[in-house]
Amino acid sequence: MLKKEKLIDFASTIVKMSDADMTTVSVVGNKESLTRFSNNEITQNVDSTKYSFTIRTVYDGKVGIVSGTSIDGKNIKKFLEKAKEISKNQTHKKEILPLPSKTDYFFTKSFDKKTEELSPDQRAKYVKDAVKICAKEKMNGAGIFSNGANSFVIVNSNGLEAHFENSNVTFSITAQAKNSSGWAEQNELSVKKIDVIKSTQTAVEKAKKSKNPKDVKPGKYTVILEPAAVADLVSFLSYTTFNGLMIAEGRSFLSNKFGQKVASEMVNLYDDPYFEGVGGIPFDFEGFPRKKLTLLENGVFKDIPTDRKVAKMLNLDNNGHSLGADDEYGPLPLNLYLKEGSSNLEEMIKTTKEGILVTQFHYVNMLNPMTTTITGMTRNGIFLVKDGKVKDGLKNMRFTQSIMEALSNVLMVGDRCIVQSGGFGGGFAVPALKIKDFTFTSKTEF
Amino acid sequence: MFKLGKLAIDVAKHYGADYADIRIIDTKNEEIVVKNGKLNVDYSNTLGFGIRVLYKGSWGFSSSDNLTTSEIKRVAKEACLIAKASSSLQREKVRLAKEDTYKDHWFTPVLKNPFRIPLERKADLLFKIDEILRKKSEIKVAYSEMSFQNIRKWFINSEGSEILQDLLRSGAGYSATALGNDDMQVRSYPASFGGQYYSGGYEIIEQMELLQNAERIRDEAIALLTAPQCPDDVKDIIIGGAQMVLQIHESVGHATELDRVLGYEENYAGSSFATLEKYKKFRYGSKIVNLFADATIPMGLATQGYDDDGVKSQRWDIVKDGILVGYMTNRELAHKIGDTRSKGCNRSQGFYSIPIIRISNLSLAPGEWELEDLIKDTKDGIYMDVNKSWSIDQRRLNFQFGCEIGYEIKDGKLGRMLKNCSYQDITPVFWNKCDAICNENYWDLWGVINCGKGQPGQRAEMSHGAAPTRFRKVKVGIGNK
Repeated sequence: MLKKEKLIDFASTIVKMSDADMTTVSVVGNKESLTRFSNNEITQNVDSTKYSFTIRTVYDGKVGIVSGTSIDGKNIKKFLEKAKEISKNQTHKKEILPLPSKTDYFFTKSFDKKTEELSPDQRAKYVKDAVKICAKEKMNGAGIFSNGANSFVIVNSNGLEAHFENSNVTFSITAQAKNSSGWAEQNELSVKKIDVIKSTQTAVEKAKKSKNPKDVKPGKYTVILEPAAVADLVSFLSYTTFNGLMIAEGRSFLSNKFGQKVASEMVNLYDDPYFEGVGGIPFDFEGFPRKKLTLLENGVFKDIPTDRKVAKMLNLDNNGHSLGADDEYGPLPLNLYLKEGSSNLEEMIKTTKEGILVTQFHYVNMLNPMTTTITGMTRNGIFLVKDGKVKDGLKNMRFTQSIMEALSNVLMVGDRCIVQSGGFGGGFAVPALKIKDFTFTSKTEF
Repeated sequence: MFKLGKLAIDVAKHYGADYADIRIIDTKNEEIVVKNGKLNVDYSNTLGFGIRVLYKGSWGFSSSDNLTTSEIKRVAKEACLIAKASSSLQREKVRLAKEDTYKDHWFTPVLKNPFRIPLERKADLLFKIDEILRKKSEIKVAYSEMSFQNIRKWFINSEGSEILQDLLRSGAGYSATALGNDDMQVRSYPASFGGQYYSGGYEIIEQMELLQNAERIRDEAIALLTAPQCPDDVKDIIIGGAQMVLQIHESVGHATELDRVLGYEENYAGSSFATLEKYKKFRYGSKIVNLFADATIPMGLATQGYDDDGVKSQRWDIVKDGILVGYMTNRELAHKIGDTRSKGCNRSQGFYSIPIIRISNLSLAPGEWELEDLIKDTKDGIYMDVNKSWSIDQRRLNFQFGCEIGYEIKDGKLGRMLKNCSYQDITPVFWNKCDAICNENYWDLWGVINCGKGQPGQRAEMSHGAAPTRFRKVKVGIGNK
């Protein structure tokens, strides 16, 4: 990826060239290298480095937004003229808030050069190690080994200069056996922490344990959700339930519930871009510093993500969660951290008379944001737990369940958080959860 | 551009590529949004290239947004190095199905270029819709949008093809979010999640009757707040065209992508129950179910001259008289089902993505029923339409879909409006419950602009044609109390 100075220089040049009342330039750089494998061989192998820039100009209370690729600076004049044309061709003015000024940010270590620069040969070596284990067990390995980096810059005509970069590496594997499968994934900021052998063995063990899966009737069960499954649930809280604008406009489950107990007292949920390994951006998409938020404290709804618009609507301070000056979707907590508890997975299993252990969910979607009801399928390792022991593998089932109801029914919280990737803005950190009365509504054939 | 493309091919051959292609893509987008009286206009223009090579039967791909001769040379070399790394873990060499070479310029037929329509005119239409939607206080969010995309794509391969395509698509839609009675309900027009999209120009927007329907959509959103819930029961259901699009997409389109069938998507999007031993034998649906793929159909979002393998667009059957008879294929995998030629389904999101198999325009052929007669023929059912939520398992069997609006059908008559309508079933079981399809007068193409697949993730666009269709004895109202 290009260095900070080069990116800032590119954005600053545009700001200087602009004759608008206000100008903001943001640049996103993304390098992604990914080796994909299935049926124990490499099937795709790609590398892509791309930059995109967005110019926002304001002329006489009218906004023009243009974006493009390639930061060679050749066509900047053309883009600035287009932004001006968009502004001038508008008949409707809207309220324009002043641009943020220069400020300091708190940075955590989130970039590793070696991780960004892993070669295709190095990725192939990791994949070979994984595939060897699968082949030995007569299973088909499918997955990815990817590495890359992201950089993000904002410069505006009020003196603000913000830059952030993170690296990322992901190893993900599905071990496919005759009538069962297992899955494991690791997302890290540095390749030093990646353990391909361990993840592959986990996937293979899950596939072995879940062979010849049995049927159970849909209904309410105590569930033990591994961290990946918990991440699938709480990710919906990020962009719907805790969306500051939805809360302010009465469109969220949490609207008018400020200060109320809405989950089990074992649930402590934060938005924390500074959590180790998450790689969150320390500023929002306008350039305001992102504050760590306590969303739920002992189950009580405490903080609301805000930008300036939502802050004004709710008479709160701006805590730096804007998705952009003209955003109409609403400020979001992008780096959820569900605080770990004191129970390990073994204890959760040992204390369960009858329940279901879930590795991950698949294709989860929101049914009703006002009740936080979602539906989705289990995938790659679902097990019956009986009398404190993991028994049979089960055929996959569909759940239809309110997330907030599930968080009110938490029985135990895992003692270890795992980071789940959340794209270029960083990820989530979540532990395993044991939850009572989790509703499965139908089953499938495998 | 063709000269730059040939340079890429020459460099790739120099580094040992047995096959190479390059796509140089120039994309223009314009998005115009009005939300609660506030206008946002976003214009983008991206340009770059992607080079794909085969080295000893393994793929390598690299891309760049810097279109210069030196960068083309660097990227072509890099693609070859990546392919060499791929070949170190290979079980079977990639074999490309034969395809003629073409020198052609193909373009979307367009009457009115949307990029030349003044911004004020486009924004004014959205402001008028916004005003109607917000005339009643129960509507808390009025959201209307237009979107236009122009892709100029040069494809050059080492076999001698040189193809330029100009693809243009236009779309618009709006939604009204009503709050009250401790509930929130949304109605959209013409379809949800962005509206209706076709390949073509601004003439499409003018034919959508956007303004004429705004009052009805607003009032339906408000009426849903106090409407009874869809019962948790088993009913005959008639699904409208705007929801059938999702049904076809999820339970037939993805299930018949050959790469999924062969396990290439196992770790991410999933695989398919429609495995090869079922080919030309399996009863996918009842005898009246006929689904065809067609990348030549007028106004389809996957309609183009050639795919990203340089394969000429075609029409073929996927399900014929209820039997599985076809798959979505590319040059790499066509031979796995004994075909000597690809069906032309290899597409990528942009210059930075490797082409993968994507659903083509896939449609359910119309039947013979008038909608009025179909309702009269239904004793105890629900009519539901316009997608609200979707979920399906990784082999495309167990699905559960939700609709924005429904109406009770009692003794052949359309009755009360119902909210929170959903239905759940197992794909082939469900399609075998299909016993009536409305005729061509009710048939339309519906655009999908947000189909995700692949790692790194890619988005693709396609259309699905359908008319209202009846399915017998389906579980509905899942989770409604």
